[in-house]
Amino acid sequence: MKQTLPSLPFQTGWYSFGLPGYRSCRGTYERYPYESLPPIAQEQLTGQLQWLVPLNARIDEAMQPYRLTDEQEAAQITEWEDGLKSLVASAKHLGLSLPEAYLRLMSSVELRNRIPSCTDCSFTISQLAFCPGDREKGYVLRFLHDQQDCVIWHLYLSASGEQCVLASHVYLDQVYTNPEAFGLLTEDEAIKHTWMCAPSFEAFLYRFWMENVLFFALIQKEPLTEEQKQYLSTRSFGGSGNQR
Amino acid sequence: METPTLEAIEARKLLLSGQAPAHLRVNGDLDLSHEVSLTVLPEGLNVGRLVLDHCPALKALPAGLHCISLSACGTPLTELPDDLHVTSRLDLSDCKLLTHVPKGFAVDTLILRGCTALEELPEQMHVFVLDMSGCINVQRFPTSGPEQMARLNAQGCTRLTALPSWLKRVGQLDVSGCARLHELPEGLHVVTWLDLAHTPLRQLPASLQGVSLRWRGVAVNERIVFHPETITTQQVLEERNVERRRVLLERLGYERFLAETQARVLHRDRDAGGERRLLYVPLQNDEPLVCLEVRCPSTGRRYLIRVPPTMRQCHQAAAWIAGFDNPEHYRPLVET
Repeated sequence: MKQTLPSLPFQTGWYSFGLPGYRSCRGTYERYPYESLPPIAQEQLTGQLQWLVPLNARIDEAMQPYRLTDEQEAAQITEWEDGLKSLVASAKHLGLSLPEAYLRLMSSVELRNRIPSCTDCSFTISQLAFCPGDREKGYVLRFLHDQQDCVIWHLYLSASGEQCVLASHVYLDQVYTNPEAFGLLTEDEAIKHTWMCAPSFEAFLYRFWMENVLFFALIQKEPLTEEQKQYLSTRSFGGSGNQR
Repeated sequence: METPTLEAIEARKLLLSGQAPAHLRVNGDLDLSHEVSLTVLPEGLNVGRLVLDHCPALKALPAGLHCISLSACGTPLTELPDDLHVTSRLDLSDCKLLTHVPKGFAVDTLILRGCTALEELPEQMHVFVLDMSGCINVQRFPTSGPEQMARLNAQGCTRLTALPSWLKRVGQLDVSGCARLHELPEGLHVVTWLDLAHTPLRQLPASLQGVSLRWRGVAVNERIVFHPETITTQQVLEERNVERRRVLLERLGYERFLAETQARVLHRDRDAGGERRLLYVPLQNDEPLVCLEVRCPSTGRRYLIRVPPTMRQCHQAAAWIAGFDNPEHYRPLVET
């Protein structure tokens, strides 16, 4: 099934980093044209995250200092679980379907730890909020942050089953309720700082995982898997987006 | 006639001199806050963001005012013009004399925090965020309004008895301190969180089951809110999150906590009610819990009042409760 982006008032673009030898980057991130992204085999996006295999030992070791300690993990587990329960209840009341891949990932520390990040991004549990630019029927759910909040990723959902991932420079879930945090940003301004970057949660996650694993593999000069080679071979990686 | 257009810096001088022409269009934003001499603005003023906070002589806004956002906190405004046009945000916090907002008023964010003279909200208002916290004289909502809001903050609206039936979905709902709010409407959906501290609510309607709850801003679960009797002293002591521990402590009750933890007596003396004691319990990674235990001279009832952890004597604590920094100055003639 070909996944398409919903009709929303946002531009499209993929925020990511350089891939040594394949794609340049003029800052920590660059916004690459959505149309230029390598295709993803849709049949593997089953909601089961079966493609999210354990990291190889070298990448796993490289990520270890950036993960929560067992003690930190234990300290936040109750809050995380309570947050997820509330989110599921809220989604149910609103007639929204949380993607299976989202629920699976957010319910498992082990799965989350299989996604490395070369820019120290981390997953978070937040609550649903009205989507700027689509407040009548759309909701956003913030789920991933860059360490310095350069980019914040949100899942978009609607009661009619539409889904996509939005990358933004602002917390979209706080545009209406905490505008002071962003210099009294208006809804229109928030829309201008937001890009649709994937047609589904799992499509986003797959690409995010793929590019991060590739980054480490290329840096560490590891042999690439067939899947990784195919990803890199499907287009010429020449960044032409805007610097961030 | 040509509409005069000025840059903000020139417009500011003209506005403060009282010489600004009608229908002035300003390029940019204007901050006229704390301008004591500002009494009037020209009709038809058109500006991006306009700040008029704490202008003590500004008693009215002009007709035909257009802006993206307007902040007029702490001004003596009593009403808003019917043709006021603010698209994004109108902040009227602490406009203590405000009594009237026009029917059908439309703005994305309307802040009426601390507008204590306001008794009624406008009919058919179109707002997406409404902060009416501290509007202690608002008793009810109008008969019509928006079906959904990103946020409704009714914190401390102590006379409010019900939420509106027209509101179906709200992102963040804060009804903490609404002491007369006994129930929430069935069919209301809260998207993000509901803060219901210090309300007489005893249960949630089916449409709110499982929703994320807060107690004075702290994330809590239904058990803490509706079944505080199940909270144990051990749970309070083991809670690592300081904010959450304070909520647990409040819900458990200081009295039970002090009794079950065998609080240390820091000091004891006598007042008109009989013996009073200053009790102390150390808390991990937090300031200790120090409470003054007193008896009411009239009813004989025992009360526990939390005081700062620096208190060492009963009289010092009683003086602090009465608002005295220096205990020497606290010499009550009669206590009832």
